[in-house]
Amino acid sequence: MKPTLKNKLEVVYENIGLSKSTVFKNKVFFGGSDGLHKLNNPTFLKEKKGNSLLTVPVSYFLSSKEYLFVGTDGRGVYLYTENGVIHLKNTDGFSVQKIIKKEGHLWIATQKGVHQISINYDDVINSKITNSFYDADGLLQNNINDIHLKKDTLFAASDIGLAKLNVDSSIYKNQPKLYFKSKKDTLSYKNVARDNISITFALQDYNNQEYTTYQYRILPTQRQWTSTSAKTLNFSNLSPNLHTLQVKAIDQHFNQSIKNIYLNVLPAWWQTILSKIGFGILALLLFWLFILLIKNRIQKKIAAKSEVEKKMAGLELQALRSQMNPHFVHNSLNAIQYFIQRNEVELSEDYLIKFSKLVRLFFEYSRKQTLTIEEEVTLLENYLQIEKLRFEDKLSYMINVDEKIDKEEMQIPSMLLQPILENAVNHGLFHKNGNGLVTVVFKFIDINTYKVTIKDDGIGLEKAKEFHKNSVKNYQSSSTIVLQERLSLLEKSKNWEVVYSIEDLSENNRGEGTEVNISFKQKYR
Amino acid sequence: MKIKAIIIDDERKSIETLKNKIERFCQNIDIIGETQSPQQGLQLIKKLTPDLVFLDVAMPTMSGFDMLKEVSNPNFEIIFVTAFDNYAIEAINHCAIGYLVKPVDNRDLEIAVEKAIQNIEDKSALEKNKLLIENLGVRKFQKKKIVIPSQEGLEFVNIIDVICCEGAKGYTMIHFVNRKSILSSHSVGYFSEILESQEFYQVHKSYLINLFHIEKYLNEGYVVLTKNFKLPVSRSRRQEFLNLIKQ
Repeated sequence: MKPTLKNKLEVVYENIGLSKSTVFKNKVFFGGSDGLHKLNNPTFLKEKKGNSLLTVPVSYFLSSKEYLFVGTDGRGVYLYTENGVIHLKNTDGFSVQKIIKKEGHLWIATQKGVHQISINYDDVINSKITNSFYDADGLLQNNINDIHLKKDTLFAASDIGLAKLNVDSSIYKNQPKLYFKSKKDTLSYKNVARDNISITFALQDYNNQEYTTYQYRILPTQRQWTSTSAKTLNFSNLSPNLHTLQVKAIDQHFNQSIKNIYLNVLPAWWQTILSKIGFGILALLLFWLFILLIKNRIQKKIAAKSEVEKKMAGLELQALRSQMNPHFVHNSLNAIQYFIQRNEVELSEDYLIKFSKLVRLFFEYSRKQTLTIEEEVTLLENYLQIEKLRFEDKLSYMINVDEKIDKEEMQIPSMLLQPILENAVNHGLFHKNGNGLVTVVFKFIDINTYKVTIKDDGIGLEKAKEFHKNSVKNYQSSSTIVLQERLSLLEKSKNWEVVYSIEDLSENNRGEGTEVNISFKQKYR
Repeated sequence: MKIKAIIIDDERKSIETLKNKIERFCQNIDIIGETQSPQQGLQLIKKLTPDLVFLDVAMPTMSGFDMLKEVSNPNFEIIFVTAFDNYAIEAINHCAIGYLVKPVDNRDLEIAVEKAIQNIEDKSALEKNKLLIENLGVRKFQKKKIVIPSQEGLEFVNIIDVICCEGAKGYTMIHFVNRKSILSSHSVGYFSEILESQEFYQVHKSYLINLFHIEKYLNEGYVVLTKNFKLPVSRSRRQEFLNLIKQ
């Protein structure tokens, strides 16, 4: 709107709704519906500086030495300085009609009562409201247009009249009268009730209900106060204990009172100390049992393993003993002595070396689980050569390996054939009148399987047994024992499938002698 | 006069070896016969009536012991020859009969032959051989008899009657349940060897006891036997001894 009249007056600033003015630090400020304006000669400037508060409608100015107190419409009070703006946060929401500064306090008249603010210069922004007056305190209504403070007397002007009250009066210093609806001061809860605890409290004086706030805490678990607007508190997860529920009521004059009520939450049967100890012991017991079980299993495993190992070692020794059979050793040495006595140097050397070779093989092979067929044949040949030394023409032998068998590759469990052969020589041929023949034949069956036949034309199994029965010497040859144990151990192992059979040939009219058939199938896992 | 001897052994080489040794070391032995077959051996004995027989234990079809049983009047000294046979040696030992192990040691041969010659003079062969045959038919150790050479001659005693053997300066006093004690010129070691089994135990360097006769064991380390023999158990053998009697 441009003035049409040309007179002495000059329009310096064109803006709508300017209503308040003040001087702060020698500058003129105007307040309007669009915020704060500052006169900066020769022009006006709208204060902005990025703060949204500066655009809130200004309703009141109070200028002091350091600050310009600005009352706003709806955002309370802020302090303006050349360096910036400080909002009194606790006044937010008030529409300020008047500001009075007195003895370090600000008094503000608002649409919701009169409030006293204590300015804390260390932390201005959080300065607290320290007292409030409402219609309940004697104001005619809460919407106050203007106030005046004369000593302790407050004059408050409203649309419907002027009220006068003594702000220091004792009637504003009474504590709020708080009480619990429950008559007992200790409440006990057990079983299901523990999950549904409900405490209701109230204020005795009806007038101040609106302006009183409440806080609560539960001791000893919760030390922080919690604000609440409801006057009924519900709890569901309290641990078994004697709790203290504290409720605090604070009125508009910041008078406060605290009331206690005791909540005794009884433990469920499984929460009692006795049952807890019981559970603990039970858990320990179970743990102990578990450990025991595991220990037992481990021990059993170890025992079983060492049992097999022991058996193997025992068998090894036994095999060696039966092979190094003293009778055999001494007879062999005796035969060698014969050649020495006759000064047959080459023969004695020859046999001595053969014998020592055989002893070496016995020691070496008794330690192995399996031999190649070639190794086995070498052992058997050596053994038979030494036996022939004693038996001379009475013993002939033949060892035949199927060409299809890979002698260097195919394996055979150790300590099996030699005892069988020893039986054939010492029981079959020994007692025979005339010369005898032992044959050992390895026959190929399939890539993993072969059969060994050890056959002698001696006196036969039955007759040999009879000899032993009638003889005053009654002993089971240790080679037979080794053979049996070795076979039963092989049966248990999962590497071999061994089928053993022994037959007296005369019983089936197949001539004279004994035949042992033993087939080996190597299994791969 | 030369001693007439025969050799019975199934191995040709053994006979040859032994014959050679006898010729070299035993001038007063005359080998009048030899055979590889026990059956022929029987005939040779009958025909030649030797003073001494070198007899192999392990032979085909018939062992040396079996052969001896077939002899009607075994009135000759025997030296058994065996490669190695605990059972046989034990049986031979019980009867104080001589033996040699193969391969034969020259010195052992000389000693055995000397002993045999002495025995031939004593004419004790028949009884000893009969005892051997008798013992072979007895299974139980305690039921067998043994021969104890003493100053007066040979004593034939039941093993079960022996309570203990007490050694003293190389001699041994043998105590019995039912007869007078015998003094033997053999050491305790000799008896320990011939009675060595599960049923005798040497509790002390001077005492060999028959476990059958134990009455009680005292904790201070004494064992009490039949007829109240109270003998010490040496500290080092105590544990082994206790394990043995607890079985």
